[in-house]
Amino acid sequence: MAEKITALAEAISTIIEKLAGKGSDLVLSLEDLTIDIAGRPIKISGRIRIDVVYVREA
Amino acid sequence: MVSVGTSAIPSFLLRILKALKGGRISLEIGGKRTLSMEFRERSLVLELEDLEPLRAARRALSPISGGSPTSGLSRIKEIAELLRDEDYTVSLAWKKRIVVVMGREARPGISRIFLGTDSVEVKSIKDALDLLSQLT
Repeated sequence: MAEKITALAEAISTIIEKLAGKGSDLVLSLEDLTIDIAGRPIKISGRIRIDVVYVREA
Repeated sequence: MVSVGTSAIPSFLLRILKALKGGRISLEIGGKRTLSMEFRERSLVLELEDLEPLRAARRALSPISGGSPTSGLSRIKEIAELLRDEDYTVSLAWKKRIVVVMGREARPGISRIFLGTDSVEVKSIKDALDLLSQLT
């Protein structure tokens, strides 16, 4: 399980590195997204924007 | 080599399908629409639009996702059979056309012979091969 999480983190890190500094902003748009939370439907609309400006080694 | 896909993806997808009852999610990268997902009761239509970011993600993930094209096909079959067992449908669309249907609403016809499952329907072999060639 720990190996899988590490591998997934490495994959995300690689994708972010490739996007950094290229104006490759990510925009996630949600339109009337209906989520069932504890048996109750909740509607969400909106946008999430991620600008990857640079990446620095930790 | 570590594989993240085999067991994690089907259960994650199923959780998403169970939680989301309707609406739409779309993803834009660098100002271009990359993909959109339309959720309906017990179904999802995943529409691919700009393939370039998907190709880049595939290249970035390939060292850890592992496997050959045949293991990719068996993973698709595994997901499709799980969807059918749980009564869900996922359709893959490209260029505004449904290319592949997986799960409950799949009507495989002759493709059952070469795919070896009742849970995957290829709507157009030409479109499916075209999409596959552009993703690799």
